[in-house]
Amino acid sequence: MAEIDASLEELTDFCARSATMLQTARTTEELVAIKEQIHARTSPLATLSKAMRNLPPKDRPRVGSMLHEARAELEAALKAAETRVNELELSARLAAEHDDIANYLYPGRLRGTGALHLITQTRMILEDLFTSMGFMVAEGPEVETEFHNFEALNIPKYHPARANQDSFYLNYGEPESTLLRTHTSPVQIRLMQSRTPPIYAVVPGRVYRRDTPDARHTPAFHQLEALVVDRGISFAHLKATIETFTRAYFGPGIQARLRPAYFPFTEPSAEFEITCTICGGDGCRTCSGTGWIELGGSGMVHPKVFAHVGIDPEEYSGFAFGFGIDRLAQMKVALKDMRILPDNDLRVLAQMRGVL
Amino acid sequence: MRITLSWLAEFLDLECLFDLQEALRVGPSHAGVRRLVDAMNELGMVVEGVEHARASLDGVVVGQVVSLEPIEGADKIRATLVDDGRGEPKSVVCGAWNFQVGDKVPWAQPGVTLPTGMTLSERKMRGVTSLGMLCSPIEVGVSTEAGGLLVLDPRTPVGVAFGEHFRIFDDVVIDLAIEANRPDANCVMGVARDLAAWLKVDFIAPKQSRLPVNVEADPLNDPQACDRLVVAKLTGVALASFELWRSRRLRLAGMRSISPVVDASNYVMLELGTPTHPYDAARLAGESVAARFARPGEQIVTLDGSTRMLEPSDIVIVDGDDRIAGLAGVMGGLDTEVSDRTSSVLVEAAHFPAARIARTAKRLNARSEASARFERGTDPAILELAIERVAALANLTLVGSLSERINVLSTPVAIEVRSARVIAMLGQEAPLAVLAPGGPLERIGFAIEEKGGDYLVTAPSFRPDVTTEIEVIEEVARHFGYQRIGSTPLSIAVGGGLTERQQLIRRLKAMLAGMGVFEAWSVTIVSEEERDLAGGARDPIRLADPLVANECEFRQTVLAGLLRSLRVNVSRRVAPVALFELGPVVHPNPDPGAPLPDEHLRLGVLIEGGENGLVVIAPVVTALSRLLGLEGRLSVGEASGTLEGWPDLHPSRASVLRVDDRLVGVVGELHPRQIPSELTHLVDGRFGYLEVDFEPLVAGMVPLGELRIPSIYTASTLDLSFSVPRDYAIEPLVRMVTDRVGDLLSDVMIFDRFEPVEEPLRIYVGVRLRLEAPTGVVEDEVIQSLIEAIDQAAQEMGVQLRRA
Repeated sequence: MAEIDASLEELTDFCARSATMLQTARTTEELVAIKEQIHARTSPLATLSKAMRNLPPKDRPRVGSMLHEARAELEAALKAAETRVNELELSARLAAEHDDIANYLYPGRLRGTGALHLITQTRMILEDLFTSMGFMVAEGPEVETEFHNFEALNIPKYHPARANQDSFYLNYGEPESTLLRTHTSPVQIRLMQSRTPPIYAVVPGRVYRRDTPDARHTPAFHQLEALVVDRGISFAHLKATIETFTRAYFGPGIQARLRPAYFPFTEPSAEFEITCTICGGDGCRTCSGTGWIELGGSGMVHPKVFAHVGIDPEEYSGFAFGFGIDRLAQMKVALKDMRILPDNDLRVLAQMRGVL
Repeated sequence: MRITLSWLAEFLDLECLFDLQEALRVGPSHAGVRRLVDAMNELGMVVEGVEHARASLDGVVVGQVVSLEPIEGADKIRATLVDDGRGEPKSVVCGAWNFQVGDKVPWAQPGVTLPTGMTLSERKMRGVTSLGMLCSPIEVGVSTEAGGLLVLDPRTPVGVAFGEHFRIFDDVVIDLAIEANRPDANCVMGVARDLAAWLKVDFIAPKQSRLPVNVEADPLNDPQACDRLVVAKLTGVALASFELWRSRRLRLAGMRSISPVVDASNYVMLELGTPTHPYDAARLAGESVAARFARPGEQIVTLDGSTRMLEPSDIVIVDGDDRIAGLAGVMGGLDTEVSDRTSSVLVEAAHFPAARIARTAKRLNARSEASARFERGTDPAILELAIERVAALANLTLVGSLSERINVLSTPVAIEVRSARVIAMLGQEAPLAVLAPGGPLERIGFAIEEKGGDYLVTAPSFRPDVTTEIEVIEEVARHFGYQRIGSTPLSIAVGGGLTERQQLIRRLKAMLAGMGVFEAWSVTIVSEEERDLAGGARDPIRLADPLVANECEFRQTVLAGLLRSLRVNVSRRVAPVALFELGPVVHPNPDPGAPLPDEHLRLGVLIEGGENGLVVIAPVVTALSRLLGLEGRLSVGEASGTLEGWPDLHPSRASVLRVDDRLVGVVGELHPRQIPSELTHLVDGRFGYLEVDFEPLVAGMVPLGELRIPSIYTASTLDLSFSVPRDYAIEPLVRMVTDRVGDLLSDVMIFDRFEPVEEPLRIYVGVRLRLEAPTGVVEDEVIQSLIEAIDQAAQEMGVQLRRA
């Protein structure tokens, strides 16, 4: 009898000791060791279980239930300890994995995404603006015939306007028969030759003039030209279109105005100006104190141009206007020297990642 | 063109608008001047600058030199005593040598600040006191040149204020840009006439010439070369004079003073727009001139000393012996130039066909103020007035009468201007008022006759640019005011937007930028060196006359343009380089009859990487084929030797790209020679390069058709290792594997390349296959049989599947 009680006491002790150890265990290794002790064949649990069959039957239920309780108690404690140790260990591992995002925020200026060119981005903004108004976008070759670039635009040989647009002629075909286009206007001719009105198109593209490069001019630059040919088109439509486009691009505070000018391929012709974007019209150095800056040329398509492309000027009328894309880009980003653009210095290109 | 306000006021009643004298004193900020400037701008005579030209002559008096002595030890200056009529003559040291005792000269006394900005004081030079300075024409602002002091008319009273006596006052200079279609506005009178109509003030027309004119037709004149020519013989050249205040206007207008006769001729050209030319009468046979076309082989030495070979399209002025005396409308001849010995001049005023003059002036590179006016069109009706004015301004005397040697001017034709057309072009009815009696066009000088609601409009002789209805409509719009014309928004009934091709270009560029590549704008015109460095060019097309030697021909590869950007970045130690450009290349046209060369769009992508340029450029090829739906159809093949029209690349790291067997581009690593040797020490990595034609890619493009639904079962991965010869082309092997696996294959990836030490001639290539089936996991037996099949096929290709 006393022997049983002693064994039971030992079991209780064992359970209490194990429970304490489980509560204080800090690592999986410790837990494994405790678990081994609990499940060892020499543990009071095992010895008492083994002794059960030699016990008098009357004692068996009591011992059995105690054994059962002890086992359940230890299993529960083990489980809790495992959960606690896992948690501890995870925390410790995560703590050890400390890192800082800032370690990765300095990849070097040229790493990461690239960028579209400033001119492309400006061109896209303009294309989107005009396509939203219902225009299509047309393109043409950079190498043009003298006919498309001059003759069909009512600029015959020896016309003073040819001297104003000093050209790069090619050694190709007859002398002075092919050249790098001096404006995007030859695409007007190509459009009118290949389509029947109505035509509502804008033509962006690169053009070339024999100018010595300076801060504001490069021999190659970009223009955008608009051409409208339809029934009933008037100078009033031209004015409204220029006003709409300049307001949409530069903002509602910007006014546009037209003043008489001369272009061989339009009549009446007009230069268009906008409120100086630097001073808002008060007058500053950029606008030479006038409050206005010149943006481009415009006018009603000349009947002689229509004659060259076989459009009846009594049935159709139209307008055209054009301006420099580079100039608009330059205004957006306050670029002081245009000559750096063809260099493609990546330190410049990398700045073009930003929103224009 | 620079004109002055005081000059303009001689032709325009400005006094009724503002106080002219006040405006001249106050300058550009004066409200009246600003109003004029606005008016000129609105009329299309664009004001490019307004300057205040102050006389700055207070304290400059007329002095008479009463003694002239050398200064001991000085050989450049002399001592003078000058009398200003107030007390004793005073000492002034002078460095000029063109005067003598008794001469009257402008004397700037101490305290005066001259127009040149110089302020004078009393000082000593070589021990001699100098009270101010005796002045040259430059110093008193009447000329840009001087050969010494300005020696004045001996009749000038001593001691008078120089500026007031010679009527030199403050003025305002207006710099105008006159458009090519406004020949009338190339002179003070024309600007005034246009302004008068706009401002509704009186135009003060010059009085018509009252000189007698004899009609003496000269058969030497060719009516095709000149339709009106008037000459006059003027004498008294030795005594000719030209008033100082007019000289000053010439200077303010930007012209040099030459001699009274030439200055008067120039003055009249600026004032009336009519060039005249004075010849030394004694040097003209028969004291006569006529105009005809040059004959083959003829030549002339012009005023500037150049010998000019003439062509039959040039118009020349000849004398009575048919000897060439001048290049009509462009420049006079040296032989007949007015000189010190000239006693009388023959002044010619004529009207020439504008296009001929333009052609000659351009061909001979001899544009002058006169040719600029003739080539835009001059007024043939005021030739007599011009000659009379030259004579009057230079103080010359007409001998006999003016002589008209030809006059075959055609009568101006009335232009029919339809009201409906005016309204249709300008979008409103109000501008028709410009055509009304007493309206602006009539005030300018247009003859307008109303006829059944429409108009018959005859342009005045000074508006040769107005010959058609639309040109009249432009004048109507201009004088109505562009700013008063209303705005009517378009209502566009057709659809616009970007084409698929244009959208594809945007997608492509955005993709490349997303991959870390920057869009470049590189040059289409390259140097011979860049062309040779890039390679592949054939019969390059050159510019006829390049601006700079390093931009002389069209690139045939994008690389030829990008190489310059590469050099820029490498030399500045900017790395890694990652550039792309979608731009044109220009090749000779295979069709010999085509008017233009073959210009087409190409994409070039240049990326700097590590030890192997292929590693960095390959992802671009992959991305491109995925974007365009070309996976499986864009194939790489070995590039052998130079490909015409395509850049040369690293000989054993280059491939050609084909879509459905059509060559579309090349890809590989830059040849080491393409990096300039002086920069190689700045380069860390190799450069991968891709160049493809854009159009065949678009043509071969397959848009995303249908999104496939992937298997929901766990996929199997099969890693295969092949032992292949070192120079083995990998693509056929990959194709074989993908063919064998067929529909089960959802992805293939080369995950390893290993160079075994024990087999130096071979490479182990690791290929990872992802296998999926729509109905379940892929069974082991299936995989085993695939391995067997691949093994066998590999052996047939001379490749060994390495099996455990």
